[in-house]
Amino acid sequence: MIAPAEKGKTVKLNILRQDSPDAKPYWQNFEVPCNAGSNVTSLLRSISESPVTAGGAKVAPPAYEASCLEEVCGSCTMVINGRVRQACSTLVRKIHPHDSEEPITIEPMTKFPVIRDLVVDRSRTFENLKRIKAWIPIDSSYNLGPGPRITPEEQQAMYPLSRCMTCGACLEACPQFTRDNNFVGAQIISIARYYNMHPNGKILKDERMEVLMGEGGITDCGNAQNCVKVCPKEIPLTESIGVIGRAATVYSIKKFFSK
Amino acid sequence: MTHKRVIVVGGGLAGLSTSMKLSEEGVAVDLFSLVPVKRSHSVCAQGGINACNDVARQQGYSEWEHFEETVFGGDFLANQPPVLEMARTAPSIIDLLDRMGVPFSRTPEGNRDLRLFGGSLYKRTFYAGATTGQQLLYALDEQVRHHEVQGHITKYEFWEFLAPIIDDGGRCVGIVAQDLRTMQIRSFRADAVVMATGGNGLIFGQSTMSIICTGSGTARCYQAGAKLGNPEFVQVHPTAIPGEDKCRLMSESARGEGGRLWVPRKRQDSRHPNDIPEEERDYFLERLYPKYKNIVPRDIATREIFYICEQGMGIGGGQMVYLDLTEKATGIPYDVLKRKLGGILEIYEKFVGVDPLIEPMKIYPAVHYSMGGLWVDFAKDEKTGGLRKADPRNHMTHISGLYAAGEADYQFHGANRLGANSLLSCIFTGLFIAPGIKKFIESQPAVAEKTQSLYDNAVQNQQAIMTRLLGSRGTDNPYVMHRELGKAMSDNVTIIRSNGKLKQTLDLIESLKDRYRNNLGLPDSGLWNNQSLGFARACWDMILLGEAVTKAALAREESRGSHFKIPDEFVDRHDLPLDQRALQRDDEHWLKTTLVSFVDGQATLGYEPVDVSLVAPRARNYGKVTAPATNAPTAGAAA
Amino acid sequence: MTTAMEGSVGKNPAGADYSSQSGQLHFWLRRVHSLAGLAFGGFVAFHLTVCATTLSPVTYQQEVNRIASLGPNLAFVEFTFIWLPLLIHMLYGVYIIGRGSKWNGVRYNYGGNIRYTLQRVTGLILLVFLAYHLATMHRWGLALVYDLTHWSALSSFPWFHPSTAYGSTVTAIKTPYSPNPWFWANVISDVLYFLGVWAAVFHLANGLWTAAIAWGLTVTAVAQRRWGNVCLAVGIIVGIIGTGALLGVTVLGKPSGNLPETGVVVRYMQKNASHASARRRVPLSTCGLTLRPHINDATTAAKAS
Repeated sequence: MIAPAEKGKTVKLNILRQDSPDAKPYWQNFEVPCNAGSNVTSLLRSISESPVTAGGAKVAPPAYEASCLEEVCGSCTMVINGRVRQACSTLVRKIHPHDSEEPITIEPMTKFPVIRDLVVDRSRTFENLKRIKAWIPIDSSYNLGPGPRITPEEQQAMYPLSRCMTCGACLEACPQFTRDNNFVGAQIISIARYYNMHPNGKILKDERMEVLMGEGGITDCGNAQNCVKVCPKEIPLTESIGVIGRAATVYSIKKFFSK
Repeated sequence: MTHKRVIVVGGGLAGLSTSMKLSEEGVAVDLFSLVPVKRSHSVCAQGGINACNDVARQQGYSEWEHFEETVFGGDFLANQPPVLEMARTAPSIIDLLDRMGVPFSRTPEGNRDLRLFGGSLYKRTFYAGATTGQQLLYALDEQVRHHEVQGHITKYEFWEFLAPIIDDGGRCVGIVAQDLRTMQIRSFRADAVVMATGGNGLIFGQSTMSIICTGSGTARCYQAGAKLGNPEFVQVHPTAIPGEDKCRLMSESARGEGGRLWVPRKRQDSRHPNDIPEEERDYFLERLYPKYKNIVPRDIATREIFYICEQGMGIGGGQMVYLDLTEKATGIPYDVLKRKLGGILEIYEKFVGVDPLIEPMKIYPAVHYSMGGLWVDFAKDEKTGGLRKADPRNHMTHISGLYAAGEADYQFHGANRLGANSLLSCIFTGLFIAPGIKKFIESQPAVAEKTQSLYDNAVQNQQAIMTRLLGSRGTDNPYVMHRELGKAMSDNVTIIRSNGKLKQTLDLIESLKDRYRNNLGLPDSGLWNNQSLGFARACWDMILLGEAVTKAALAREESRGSHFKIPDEFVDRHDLPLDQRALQRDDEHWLKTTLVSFVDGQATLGYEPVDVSLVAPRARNYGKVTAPATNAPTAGAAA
Repeated sequence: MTTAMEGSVGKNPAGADYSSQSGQLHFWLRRVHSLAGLAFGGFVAFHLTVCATTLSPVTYQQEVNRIASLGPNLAFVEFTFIWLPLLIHMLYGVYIIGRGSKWNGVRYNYGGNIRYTLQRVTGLILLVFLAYHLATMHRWGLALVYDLTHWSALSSFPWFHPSTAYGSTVTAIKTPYSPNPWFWANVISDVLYFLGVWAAVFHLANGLWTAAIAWGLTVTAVAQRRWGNVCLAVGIIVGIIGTGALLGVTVLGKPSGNLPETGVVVRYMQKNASHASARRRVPLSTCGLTLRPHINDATTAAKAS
């Protein structure tokens, strides 16, 4: 069940390591076997099996997050060759010219606090999901009949938004999202749009708009539009930003005249 | 007043639905997960979720049919009352998910769309594109987040469950867990513990499972005295992209939506698949199973693929066949399939670099699901034939107060799981058992009054294990040992099994145990986010699970569902069809559940009867026609 | 749901307030910033158009006179459409930039990101440029000081004067060292003007594009692209006009240009009593406009009416 492999090929890796949150980062070089189907997670696993640097020093294997290895769980986001990517779907043959002597560089994301090596703390994104009430309020899980009828057009508009795996790529690439501000970023704006679209999710729309019109909300977007370029799931993030922008305009006017 | 609490270990569909329902019932929940729950392995499920529905009902389908198909698909090894209860509850679960906002694919009128899935002739599978698991997981994740914000559920993400804590009376009263960042080990009191830790695909090295699916949660309860049920039943999914790090699933929905499996008629045909004309293709499943065609159950499809490759008819003579979704083969327009199957098509495109709607996919079977798992009890309702509601016995393991749910338990799927039943079983279990758990904790003294030393000892035990591992300076890297285990398990304990190979595997496992104890070398001895430590611990669990699976397989002298045994002397008789080489199903001796207990460091087998009170076992061959593998007529097969 | 459990949970931020933080003030500030930018952008387009008429000095004077004819209302107009929006847009813009962003136009060199970066870079350039522009046209407000003090030492500084619009503009834009357009310091000044005008044009066009997203006018990628083309066209047109203005006052400008229609001759760096007195009467005058016409100059007054 193993794919035919090219024997004897290796690839050089340059990994930015950091032993603990307060430690100083440092670069470390590795040279690991590489096959036709190798991706960055498999290279990292190779290091774990033989954690020796290119210089021959035995070291602790680099810590990294990974789980599904098929780009649906969102764990393995890192900066590879200077660009934020999912390590599992980053095939070596796609980013690395054949027989290149150049090392592949692997760094942790820069917008989140480093825990260790390539592991970062993305809890901010999950906390933001709470802030915008990213759920559909239901009475209970008892059997209360089907949900609202939804047209295929509506479903097809909502579905891509619902594929966001909270990987953080859009936030890493966003120049407006920094460690010391509280911008929620494209991900949260898009998720809010998703819930605002649902017939029952709409119930909390005003509450979401209040949050998104506050500090760190929609107005902090600078329209660099990197988010949509780096999103591994090709979610129409900038469209979501436009939709929420429009909703904010309407909501503010409505509120001005009604409350 | 003391508040009673329940610990749920695992944040996939089963863990989340259990947590949600418990919270709704007013029970405080501590939810433990290795990863943020939103990244749990349920996210990988693609095809859909089964339930009887109005359309199928009007065509003659019913909850009973769903139950019957599931039992039949599982080769009658499943206890029937839980299956019936699940099938009956399924339609209301779909409604619930719908209310939670799962973006189910829709018909033009706005109803939830349905697709065909393995083991059924009725469309009874609801789906959301080809990422149904992700959509379901997210919907539950959001509900749980709502409960979390209200303060009813506390999440412990990046915490690893190490062991259940069991008091003198044999009741589970808490767990020991470790913070994977600070490496702090501490105990948590709980009036009941639910294990929802998923399957154990990683013991086979490459599988379709996430790399967190080591089965260690199950294994740690097994070592603490819980028994495993039917561990030898491991589903090998027929269609996956072979890979060196994992085999990426190509959902059964690809075939449900019209995808066809074929190989060139000419041995080692070197032409591009699109250049091979229709009459020179062998749509072997359609040829062999004219009734079910490409959607025969997974164990059967897997064996047919294995056999055709064994015959040297695989692509280029190797271990691969075509899964064809091109318009030429399916007659379905590009855009339609793109919309319905986008999620999996992307995976193929990303990892293989080819658009599978333009060029047939190359696929091969891969380990996919653990039918076996922690043995759990059930309470049959004699009146309805299903389960007694809110009975504390439902899904309790052999350890009082320790429950199991989802893929981690052994219920529902028998010897082979039908496609799109796993999402259902996970959610059903969680929702169904919560009231029973509540009743259990109400009937028991609060663990808050338990002596602290019980918990302190448990923590000390785990600290001792950690200290020993951190100090191990041998030459055996746990990752390498895992690779060795995986290769042996994959080669010998998957699609076909023979006693000779199984014994060899057990020998290897014995030697791995020995090496682990005496020559393990941990590559990292740090006390901060030490991933090697967690993996080394899981490696031991995987070795033990491998032993349980292999021993149970060795003992079971029959073929049933995914367990397909060929006597040693017939293994290499490639001139004979698989069916003629293998042992037959033997209800007289083997219609029983395997129970594996951990005694003196060894897997020890026992058995108990299966509850077949609702449907009598009957032969299972899905209308296979016996025809020679080559030169068979294909006319009409494409219909 | 079950409220009985509240407060029973340990470390969970139970009952934490996840609702809005600073109300809608933040939102309105941003939107006002956007509006202010649009208002000031409108002025810039108008201003460049007026200045482009320097290619025909007579027309330019006529335009200036027309503006001057607003009389006392001009102060209000200037405040509303120039100073207030500029101040708001500038101050809040600086706050936005200063509030922390991680420019990454090199790492992620997508068009949108480069425009994002340029928007901020041009914003900062404009900050400097506007200061320079005010300095050259009005010598950091020395006109006002002179007006108040009649300090003769200041009378040698040339600055814009509505009655001799063309000549004073061309003179003011030059460095005080030489009237020769090819003198090195003047070339640097011209380059700064060129940079400033084009920075303004980009900032305006791109601002129009992002404003449409911010206000929710353009939502889909297609609409944004379409509107982007419109903004590009606006930018090109305003840019051409601006370049015309630049040429008119820099390389093509004649500092000693004689305007027969007005009969006003501006002599560079020459103390001239009549001009000194003329300047004295000019109060606070601003970006190419003036608060009120120079009523004492008979010829200009005649034209202005």
